[in-house]
Amino acid sequence: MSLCSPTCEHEAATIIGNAADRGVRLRLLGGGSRATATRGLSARALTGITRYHPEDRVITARAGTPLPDVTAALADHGQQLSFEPPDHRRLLGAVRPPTIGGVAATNLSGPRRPFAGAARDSLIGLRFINGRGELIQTGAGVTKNVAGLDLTKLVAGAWGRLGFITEVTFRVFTAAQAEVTIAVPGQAPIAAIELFARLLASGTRLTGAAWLSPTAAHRTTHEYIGGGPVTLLRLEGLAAAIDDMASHLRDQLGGSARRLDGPPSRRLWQAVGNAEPVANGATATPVWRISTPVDAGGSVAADLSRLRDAAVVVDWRGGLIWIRSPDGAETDAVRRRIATVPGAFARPMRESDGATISPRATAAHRALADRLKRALDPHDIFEPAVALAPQRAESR
Amino acid sequence: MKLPSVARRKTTTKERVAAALARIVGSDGLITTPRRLKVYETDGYHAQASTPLAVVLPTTTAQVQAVMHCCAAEGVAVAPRGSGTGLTGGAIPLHDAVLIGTAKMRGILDFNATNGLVRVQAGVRNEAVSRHTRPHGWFYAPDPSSRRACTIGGNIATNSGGAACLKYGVTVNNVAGLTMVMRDGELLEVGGATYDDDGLDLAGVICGSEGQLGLVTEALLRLTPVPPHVRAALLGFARQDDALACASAILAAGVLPVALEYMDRTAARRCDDFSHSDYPSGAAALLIVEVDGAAAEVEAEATVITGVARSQDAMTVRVADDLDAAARLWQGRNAIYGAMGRLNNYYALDCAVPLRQFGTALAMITDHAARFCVDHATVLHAGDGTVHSFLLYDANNPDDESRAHRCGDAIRAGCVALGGALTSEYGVGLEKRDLLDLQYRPQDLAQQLAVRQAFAPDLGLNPGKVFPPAVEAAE
Repeated sequence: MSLCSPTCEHEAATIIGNAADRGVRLRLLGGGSRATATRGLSARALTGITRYHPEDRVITARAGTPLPDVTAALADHGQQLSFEPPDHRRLLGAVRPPTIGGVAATNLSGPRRPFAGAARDSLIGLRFINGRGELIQTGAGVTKNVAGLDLTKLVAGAWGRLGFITEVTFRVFTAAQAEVTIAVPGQAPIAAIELFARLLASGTRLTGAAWLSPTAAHRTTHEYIGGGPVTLLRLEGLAAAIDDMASHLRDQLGGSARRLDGPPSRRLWQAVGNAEPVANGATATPVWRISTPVDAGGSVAADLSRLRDAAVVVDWRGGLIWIRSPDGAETDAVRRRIATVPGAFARPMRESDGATISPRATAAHRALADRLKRALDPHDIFEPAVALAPQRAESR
Repeated sequence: MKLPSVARRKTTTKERVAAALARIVGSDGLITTPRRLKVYETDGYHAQASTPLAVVLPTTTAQVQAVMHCCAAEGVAVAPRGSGTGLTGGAIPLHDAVLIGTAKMRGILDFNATNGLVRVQAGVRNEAVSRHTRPHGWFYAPDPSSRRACTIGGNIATNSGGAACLKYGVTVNNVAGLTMVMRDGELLEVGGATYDDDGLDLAGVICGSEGQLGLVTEALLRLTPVPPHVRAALLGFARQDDALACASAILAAGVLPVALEYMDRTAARRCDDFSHSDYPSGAAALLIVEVDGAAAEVEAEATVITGVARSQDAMTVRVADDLDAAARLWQGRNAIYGAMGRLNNYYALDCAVPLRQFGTALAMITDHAARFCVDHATVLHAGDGTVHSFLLYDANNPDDESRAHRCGDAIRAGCVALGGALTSEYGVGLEKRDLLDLQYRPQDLAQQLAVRQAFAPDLGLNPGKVFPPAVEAAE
């Protein structure tokens, strides 16, 4: 395997330009937390926060900057990335931390996604190298910019198929002073998801809404989660308001609801975001990540929870489902179930576990995707990062 | 592709195209008489006008597909139009284009309260969406100031935001899916009811593309839960810098307002003169801060805001406890277009700068206004960097108008040089196409154009806009 790790944009542009001239294909990698590459181009040596003035509420960093470095720098000033970027090291059995460029390239978001937007919603600017070896700048260093065609989100969500990202700019927010989780035991997933929608529509400002199957709840190893399934609701805000907000919510939920404050609440949502309840090291059975319309999430989760000892996590108030079962029976079950839900799709978390199950692609999508690929990478030298890279089409 | 000019397009082609369009949309949906076409020659930009070959007003996506197919086959350009409220000439039909208006596409098709999503046709007015969903606890958050008139399709074309986008984002953050007709009439469904996509983020590039990638006929909009409580505060300051420091300190204190608006002395006084809003006289700057949420939340946030304001030497602190009282605080600010328009013609800017550069930007604006001898007033969206300067001029005096525009261009260039953006709200359109290279280098623009061509190979959708003519002609 040859792995290039350029140390500056100019070097990266030269490598890509030479590869284009010679017709050599490159697989683009962030820090390599998802890497199984044979010939790769990694951003891991492009590190460092290049521009951060807390009062601007924006941060710019080179793509290979480890995510923990970025979150730590923000935390020093009481700020955060609002979409809670997950760290899937445990899930993937990876050693290297995720990078900020990888976060942009994969558009992965954590539990706050339905309430504060996805990674792509906070991403406001990019520098990347296209398949001709040209450094392209898109977006701006300010939150609001409508000048020109904004390629930021297109390139960011493309999993390394359209360009090699060298620098990213994210909008940042002041971190909440306080958080509380209300845990409700014993609910079925359909009831939990209906509860989330009802609370939201009646004015409860949730910032986390998840459900764990009994196995998943058990695997979070937090003593306060008991034996059965558990529904989790998070509130965040000013310290002066959080008690009233939590009491009001608890009153609506009845006596069995339990309250977790501060660090235990934080650890719990980190575990949910990182999909730890379904993680089992690198060698175990496949883990599937299912995106579904919220109103179908409950029944999909209920069906999949019936698989023997399956660990199921429902996040995003019903829109995201994680599943792993010890005997590997889930792949067929996921495939069958997804086929019945319009708009749903599922990704295996590792390349070796198969391809994305997606019934959505049409001929028009494929033709447009091909034309966009040619517009950004005319010599077709960028390979998708891993099989996780969405492959519309033939995978069914 | 070089599009034929009006003069060179043969009358027979026009007649053939018009006849084909009539077969698709019927005579009710087709406008070809010069008198009626006049309405569609310009939009809120007014500085230029161009007559379309014809105007079609389809009612369905299938009709739009047939119209687009017909125009592509004839090599005729197409331009879209919502309500025509745009301020940059984005809806002016150049190159003898057929103009597709969405005025008859006003259906709210499907509302799903569990998912918090609503599917609407592109011609639905922005405000009509929330009116439909609010009784069920949800509203559509992007709130451009033209929301009573502007359409969702137009909002998507310009990626509109509004005062409330600080907390809830702009259009692209609130669109889950799109139905779009491509240049050749083919249908493309983008995104959907899930929180993420399994393919490329096409909605991310279509929002803000000013109608150059395809014609959006339907949108699946992501709604926001209606906040049960609102608080607003009007803060007056004797010094501009205290107002800016106060805005920054409010955000740093963990309050994420729905809106955080700054008005300079001139803007505040003129809005007050116009709408009698009882703004404090003598203030060098005003802030209007609005928060929403649960009762305990807004109560705590209002306490933080007033505390921060006092520590920043605010001379006036007025708190509104409900929607009506909040609306009264906003009354003057919301009347700014009328207040300026009453005095003279104005050139409104919508640049952006990094938040810490507001003070520098305001000084730069004052300098340029003095240099060009232009009367001006400025408001800021103090949480997102937007700088709205109103440069007044007499339209009957060409020299006056030219000075205002040169002053505006200098301010835009200054904002970009401070690390900001050429346009943060109105879009590029016709008005700013020659300024785009202030913000992007030639290779950036070439890449944007290549992506546009991947959608519309002949660049026949809303041609002549956004890109500098030399860049577009190079293809």
